[in-house]
Amino acid sequence: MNKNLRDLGLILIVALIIWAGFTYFSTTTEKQDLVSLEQEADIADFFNNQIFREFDSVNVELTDSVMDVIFERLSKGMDTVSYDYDIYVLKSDQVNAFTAFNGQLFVFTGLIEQTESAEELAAVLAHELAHAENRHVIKNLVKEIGLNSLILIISGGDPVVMQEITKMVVSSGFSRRMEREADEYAIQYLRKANINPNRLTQFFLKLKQKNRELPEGLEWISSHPALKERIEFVTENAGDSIIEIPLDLEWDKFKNSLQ
Amino acid sequence: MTEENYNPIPQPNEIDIREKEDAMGAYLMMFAALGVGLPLPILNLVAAIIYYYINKGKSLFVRFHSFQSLLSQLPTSILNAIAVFWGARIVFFDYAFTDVFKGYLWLVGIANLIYIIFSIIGAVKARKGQMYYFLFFGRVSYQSVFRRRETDSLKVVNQPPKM
Repeated sequence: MNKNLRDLGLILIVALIIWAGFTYFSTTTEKQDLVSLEQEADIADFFNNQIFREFDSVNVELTDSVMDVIFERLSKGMDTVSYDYDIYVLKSDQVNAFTAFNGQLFVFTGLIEQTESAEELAAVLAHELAHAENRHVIKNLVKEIGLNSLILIISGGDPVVMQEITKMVVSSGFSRRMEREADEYAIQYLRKANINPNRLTQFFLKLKQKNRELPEGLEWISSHPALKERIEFVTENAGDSIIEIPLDLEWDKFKNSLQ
Repeated sequence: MTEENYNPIPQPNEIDIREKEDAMGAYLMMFAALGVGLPLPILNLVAAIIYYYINKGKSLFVRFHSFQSLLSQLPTSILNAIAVFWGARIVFFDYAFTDVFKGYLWLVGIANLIYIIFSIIGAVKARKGQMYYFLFFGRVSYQSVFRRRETDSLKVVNQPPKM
C-alpha cells in the first residue's frame, strides 16, 4: 500500500512540476505590444483627422483649461502615465466618451450635459484613462481585425477603412473583462486622486434612469455591457469612504458655456 | 501482502486468443471513446466503465487489463474535462487567457500523450498475453483483481476422490 502512495505522490509531483514549469516559462508575447507606440501615433493622426471631419470640436481654449484641471488631479492617482494625454470635447448630443489612440480622449457635450459635477466627469475620464493605460483600444483592434490588417491599414491609411475603424473606436465595444479592468483601475485612480469612486456609480445610476426614459443616444452606456453588474462591482470595490477634495471648477458655468 | 493472498498470474500459453483480444480491446476501445468524448471528456469515462463491467465476468487476465485501462484514464479524463470547462469560460464568459491556463494546457497535452503511449504498449502486451503494469495503476489493478477473496475458496466444490 505504501508503494502505491509513493507512486501516486510521484505522479502528482511530476504533474505539478510540469504545470508550474510551463506556467512560469510561458512566453506570453502580448500581440498589442507588436504595435509600437510610434505606429500608434501614426494611427492617431489618421484617426483624429477622421474624427474632426465628422464632429465639430468645442472651443479648445475654453475646454482645455477645464480638462487640464481634471487630468492633473487624476494623474496624481495614476501609477503610470504612458501617453501625453489630450482630452477633446466634441459637439454632439450623444452621451458618449471614448478613448482613441496615443492618449487621445474624446468627450461629447451630450455626456457633459448629464454630469452634475466635475467629479462625475473625472470618474468617467478615469475609466477612459484606464482603457488607454491598458492599451485596450489596440488590443481590441488586433483581436477584431488581426495584426497584419492593422499594420497594413496604418501604412496605407485608406480613408474608407479608417472610417470603419473610427466607427468601431467611437462605439468602444470593449469586452466585459476589459470594462471590468478599466473600472478596477478607475477606482484606484480616483481614490488616490481624492475623488470618491462612487461618482462613477452615481453617473451609471443616473444614466440607467435616463436610459429608461430615452432609449436612444446613450452610446456610452449601451456600449458598456451589464450595467447592473458594473454598478455592483464599483460599489463593492470602492472601498472605505474617502474625504473628497472638490475640483476647483465652476461646473455649471462651464456647462452653460458649452451651449 | 504475500503471494499466497493472490491468485496465480496466467502465463501467455494458458490464455486463449479470445481473452488476449478482449484484453487488448480494453485499451483500443479507449481511443475510440477518446475521439467521441473529446468535446465532453466524461463520455469516454462512461464508455470505460461500461467496458469494464461487460468484461468483469471474464478471466482475471481480461479483468486486469480492463481495470488498468479504466483507472489509468481517470486522471486524463478529469484533466481534459477541467480544460474544456476552463476553456469554455475563457471563450464564452471572457475570462483571461492566463499563463496558468497555458501551463495547464501543456500539462493536459503531456498527460494525454503519456496515456496514449502507455495504452498502445498495454494493448500490444495484452495481445501477446503478457501482463503490463503502469506506474501506480498497474499495482492497484493487480491488487484489486488478483487478490483472493473469501468467495473464491467457496468455488472449489469438486474435489478428486479420496485415495
